[in-house]
Amino acid sequence: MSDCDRSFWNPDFSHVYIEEDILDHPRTAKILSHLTHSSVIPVPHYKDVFCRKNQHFAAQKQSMKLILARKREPFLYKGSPMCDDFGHENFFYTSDIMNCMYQCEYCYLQGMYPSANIVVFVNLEDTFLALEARLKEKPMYVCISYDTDLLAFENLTGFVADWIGFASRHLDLTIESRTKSANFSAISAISPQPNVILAWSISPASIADSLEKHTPPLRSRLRSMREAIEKGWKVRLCVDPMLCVEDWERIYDRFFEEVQSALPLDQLFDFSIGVFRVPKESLKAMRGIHPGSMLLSYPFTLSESGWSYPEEQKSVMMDYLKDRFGSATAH
Amino acid sequence: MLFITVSMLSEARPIIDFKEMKRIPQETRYQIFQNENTYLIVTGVGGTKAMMAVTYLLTRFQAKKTDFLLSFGTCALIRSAEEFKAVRGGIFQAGRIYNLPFQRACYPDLLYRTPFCEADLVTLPSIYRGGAVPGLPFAIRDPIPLLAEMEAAFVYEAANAFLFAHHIFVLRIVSDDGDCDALTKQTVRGLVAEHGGEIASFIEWIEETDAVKQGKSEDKNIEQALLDEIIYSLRLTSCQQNELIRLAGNYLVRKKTFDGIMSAMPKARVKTKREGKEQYERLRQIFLEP
Repeated sequence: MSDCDRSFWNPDFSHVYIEEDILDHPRTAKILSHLTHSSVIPVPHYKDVFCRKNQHFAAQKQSMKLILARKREPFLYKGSPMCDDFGHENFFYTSDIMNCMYQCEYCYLQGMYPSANIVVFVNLEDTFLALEARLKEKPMYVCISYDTDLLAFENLTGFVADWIGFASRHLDLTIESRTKSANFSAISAISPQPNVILAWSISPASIADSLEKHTPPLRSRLRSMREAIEKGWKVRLCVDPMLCVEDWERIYDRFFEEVQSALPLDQLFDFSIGVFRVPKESLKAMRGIHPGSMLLSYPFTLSESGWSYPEEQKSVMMDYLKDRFGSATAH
Repeated sequence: MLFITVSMLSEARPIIDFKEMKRIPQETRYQIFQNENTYLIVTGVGGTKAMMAVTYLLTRFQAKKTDFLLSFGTCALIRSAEEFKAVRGGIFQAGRIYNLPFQRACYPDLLYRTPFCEADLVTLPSIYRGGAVPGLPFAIRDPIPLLAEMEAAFVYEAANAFLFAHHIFVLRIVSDDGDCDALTKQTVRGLVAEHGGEIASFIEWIEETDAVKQGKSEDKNIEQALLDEIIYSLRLTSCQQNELIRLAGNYLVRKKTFDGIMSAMPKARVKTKREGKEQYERLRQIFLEP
């Protein structure tokens, strides 16, 4: 029984833990209708499962469980200074799903949560109510897919479609849904909304293949982006994080050529770029999860905003990206 | 390492025989049996005894987080007589364990695929004598059986303080439906023996894991020995030692070797802390090279 052998693991979502007070929620029923073979275990509070003692993040990634819960306040979080606000004054993000189905070696979520299990907060309507109250005061920019990849879960939850529907009724709200999935087909029937930005995170194919486990290949993501552009959506291209791997200049040169030939760059809404950076408290946990990681073994430097490459290295990489992606916004 | 806990010797005997375990004569507080990779303890009946015994076992034999624990035993079914006929003698793995005396549940991390069906377990403060269980805060999950016994929740909680949650397995064989007076040691032993092959292959499956095998290896690798030598030579403080170990670990991942490090080191142990500090700083800069 080797830890790398998937046949020893239960399949993903073999068990669904559901908070007792949302057992009858319509979204719970909808999600469960996709998971007919899962064993359902009612729990008083999602943290009874999510925050158990001595969980093993990397092992749990081999057999992720689903936890359905009720979101309690706060429904909106102030945007982190480590993230781009794209010039919006009221920059917030939501966390309607915690954790992600992908396993990116550089992902900060690994150091953030005690568990790799997926928590879906089914009461999206309460987030909408909280947002409506705030929107009465001021226009807002809300990123809906920061602590997860919402579009990757779309077939199970339908959250992105719900968000787009909500945004269509509130034009003083701008939302960004960021993804690594190639699942645009799940929302392709919806008419494009001027205040909805669909953002794709992409990396060079060699990096995606080796460091972004279970994500769709670069060409599939580019295809999804192209379809979205052709349908008239505002599409944001994110090269974030850029990684200082061996021979990075050659790798990113080739990557830029591939992006350029696959996408009409002049029709993109905008770009977002950034180099690898993680919060202060995350790197240790990430190294613990990937003890042999070449990427994470780099001698990063610690600044007030967290761990990243040394300033000199960072500027070389950022200058490179700005040069390639022109009007990019620097972090 | 694999640790097995059972409450009564009659439940343990078929496993002891099958795995050819020997009693450790020096252990007088508890009956503890062992073979190459496995320790088995007879805890005694009841939550408090079980918790104490598990804590003793895991402390005494210096359990590592990556070790495994199997809690094994018999239990009663909280159901009607008809349903009891269908599951009597069946072996189940706990998916949820409710500690009735403390009114709290624990949820084993069911990552591994096992050959056993799932059940809910209720740990009671006394023997289950049939009928409904007062104070149970949840309904029966059809078709998942609800089983009653007296140790599982305590064993799980104690073990989880030491081990990864997904390395703890709780298995129970249904022996009765509350009419436990009719049970004899021979009946219990017979029920366990019926599942001897299944249990033995499950134990072998655990023993085959990398973590159990790694527990046997005590060879220090060359890099670790070299690092120990450096730490000794430089008279480092605990804080410097921790920093150096962290940096050296990352350096080793990047460069795959410590070749060349020793040439930068003094040949003999430094005489003063100041000298050690200077050497430490030089070494630190080497380890910080990208």
